[in-house]
Amino acid sequence: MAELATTFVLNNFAVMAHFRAESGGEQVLSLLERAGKGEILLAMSLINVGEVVYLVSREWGREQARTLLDDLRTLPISFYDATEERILAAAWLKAEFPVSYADAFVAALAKELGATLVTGDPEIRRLEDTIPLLWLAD
Amino acid sequence: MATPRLITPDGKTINLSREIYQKIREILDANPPTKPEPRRVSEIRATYGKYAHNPSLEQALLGEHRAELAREEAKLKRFYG
Repeated sequence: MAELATTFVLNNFAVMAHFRAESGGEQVLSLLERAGKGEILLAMSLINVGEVVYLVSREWGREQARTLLDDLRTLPISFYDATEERILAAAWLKAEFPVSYADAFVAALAKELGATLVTGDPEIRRLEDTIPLLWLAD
Repeated sequence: MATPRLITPDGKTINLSREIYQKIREILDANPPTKPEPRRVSEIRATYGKYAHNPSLEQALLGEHRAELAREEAKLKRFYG
């Protein structure tokens, strides 16, 4: 039987740790390299991508946001649309846990894909009994 | 055994009979999922720390989420007391 590759979902915390070489960034780089070799699958919700874009645009300017988005698209990450089913899955999670709307989409995607969520965001710790987390080291 | 479900690429969930599930498993086993095109390690490494000179977004991100939750709380109080 063919073995399905292990899947990890990245949230914006993980992506920014990579782009800024912050704490945990080397773990994300290692995951990206493994995904580049086809050893694992990496995924992101487009809702989370949107959050990265507007935060970067607001804090660093629109030009930097465009460049970072281009860089993000070169990485071996699959992007997932917000479909009706995913919006409702995120809604059920958000109703249960006090997390941001964007993080609810990340968590719902991890559940859907049977994936491990990669983050260093302290707010997502609230979900650790619901979704496997790969915690980015301090 | 839980009802097998097929989640399509566009996010739709379809409940499957055991027979259909077995057929799909056979097809998947014969055709492993396509993996993304391999990327050169150098391309990936070139993006590591590329934005390290910019200010951290960590506080902006956490502040954004705190503000979002506060707005929701306020809205709920306004509408439902």
